[in-house]
Amino acid sequence: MLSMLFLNTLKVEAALPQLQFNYSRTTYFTFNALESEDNTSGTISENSGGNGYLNNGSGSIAGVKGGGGTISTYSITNGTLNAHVKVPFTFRVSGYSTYPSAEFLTYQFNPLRYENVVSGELGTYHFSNFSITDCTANYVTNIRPQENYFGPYQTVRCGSIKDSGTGTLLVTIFIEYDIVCTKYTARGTGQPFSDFSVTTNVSCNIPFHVATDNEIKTVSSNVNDSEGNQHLNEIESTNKSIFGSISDFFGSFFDNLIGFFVPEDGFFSDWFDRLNTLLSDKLGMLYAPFDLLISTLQSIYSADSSSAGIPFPGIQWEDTWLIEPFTFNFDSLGSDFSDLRDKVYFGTDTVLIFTFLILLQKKVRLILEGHE
Amino acid sequence: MIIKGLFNLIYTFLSVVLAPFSLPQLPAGIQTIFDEIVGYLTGAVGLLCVFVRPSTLQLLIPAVIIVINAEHIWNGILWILKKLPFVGIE
Repeated sequence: MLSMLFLNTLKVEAALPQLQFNYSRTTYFTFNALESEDNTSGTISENSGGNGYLNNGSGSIAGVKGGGGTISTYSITNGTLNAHVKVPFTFRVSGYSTYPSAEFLTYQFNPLRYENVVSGELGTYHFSNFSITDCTANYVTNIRPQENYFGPYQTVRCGSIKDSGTGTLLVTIFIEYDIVCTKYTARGTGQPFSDFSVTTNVSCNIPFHVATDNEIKTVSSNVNDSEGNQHLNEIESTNKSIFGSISDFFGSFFDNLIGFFVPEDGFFSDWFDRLNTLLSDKLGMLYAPFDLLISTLQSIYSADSSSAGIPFPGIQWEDTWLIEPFTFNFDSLGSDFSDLRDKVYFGTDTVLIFTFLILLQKKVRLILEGHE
Repeated sequence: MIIKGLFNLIYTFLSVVLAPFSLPQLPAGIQTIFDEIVGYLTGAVGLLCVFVRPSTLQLLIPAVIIVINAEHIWNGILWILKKLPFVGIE
C-alpha cells in the first residue's frame, strides 16, 4: 500500500519542483538634492542595490537577486511623499526537465517599510497598486500577467503557456507599486525628506502547477464573472435542506476517518521536497551525488510519450548559440510511426513485465523458503 | 494524520540532529557541470522513451527497487509486528 502511495505521489507530484521562499532586499534611494523640500517633485534613482538574501525557503533554487530599483516619479506635498517604484527580481532555477503545457506563478508581496537613512525614524506609509507589469523567462512563450488578485498579502498571479524546454529556467519579474509615505507624526508638515531605504520582502510561491485546459478556462471565467459565481454559490447554499446536511455529514464522516490515517494529496511530495532541501542545505557538497540522483529520477517521472525523441546538444559561443539544442521527435514522421511505436512499446512492456515477474518469483521463494 | 505525524516527527528529528551542520555548497563551476549532466541524462531518458513506454518505467523502477529489497522490508515488518504484544508473533 505504501508503495502504491509512493508511486501515485511521485507520478503526479514529483514532475516539477515546488518553490516557496521569502526574499528580502533593502534598497536605498537618494534624492537629487541632499534633502528634498516640501512641495517638490521630480525623479529619484536607487543609490545602491543592496544585497538580497533568502530568508527561508524550500525546493531547489540556484540564485535569487534583485536588480536596480527604479523610481520613475515622486512628489512631496504637505509632508507626504508619493512615489512609484518598479523593482526587478530575477529567479534562476536549475535542473529543469520537460515543461508542462501551462504554468501559473504566484507571488505574494508583504508590506514594505520606510526608514529614514539618516535619523532611522520610521514614517507611516501604505503601499498600493501592486502588479507584475512584465515577466520574462527563457524557454517560455506567451508569458504574461493574466490576472491580479489583491488579497491581504497582495497576491499577484502571472500566467504563461509554455513550450517544452530543458536546462535552466530564468524568470525576471518587475514588481511595480505606489508608495504614499507621511513623514514622522511627531513633527509637523513642511519638514524635508532625506534619503530613505525601503525593505522589500517578497514571498514567492511557485507551485509550477500543470493546468488543464478546463482549469485555464475556469480561471479566466472566474476573473470575468466572479460576481456571478458568488451569487450562484449563495443560492446553492440557501437551498440546501436538512436531509442534505445529514447525508453530507455521514458522507464526510468516512472521509474524515480515512483522512485520519491517510495524509492528504501532495503531503509526501512536499515532505520529500522539504527533506531534500534540509539535507542539501546542511550537508552541502556531500549531498550533491544524492541530489543528482534525485534530479535524474525526477526527470524520469516527468517523462511522457511526447518527450520521446533523439536529443541533439547545441553549440554555444559565449552568449550566442551557433546551433541551438533541439530534440528530433518521431511524431513528425506521421501516424505510421505511432503504430510502430505502439508495437515496440507492447514488445518491451511484455519483456520487462515478464522479467519483473521472474524476479518477483525468485524473491518470494527466497523469503519464504530461504533459497531461490 | 498518524502517518503525517510520524513523517513530521522524522523530519523534526533530522532537523535537530543536523542543526549544527552547515557544510559548504558545491562551487558554481562544479554545480554547472552537474546541471549539464542532468541535462544529458534527461536527454538520455527521452531517447529511452522511444523504445520503452514511460509509464511502464515509472511503475517498474520503484517496484523493482522494492522487490530487490523485499527481504529487508519483510524483516522490518516482522520486527515491528514482533513488538506488538496483541499480535502474538514470536
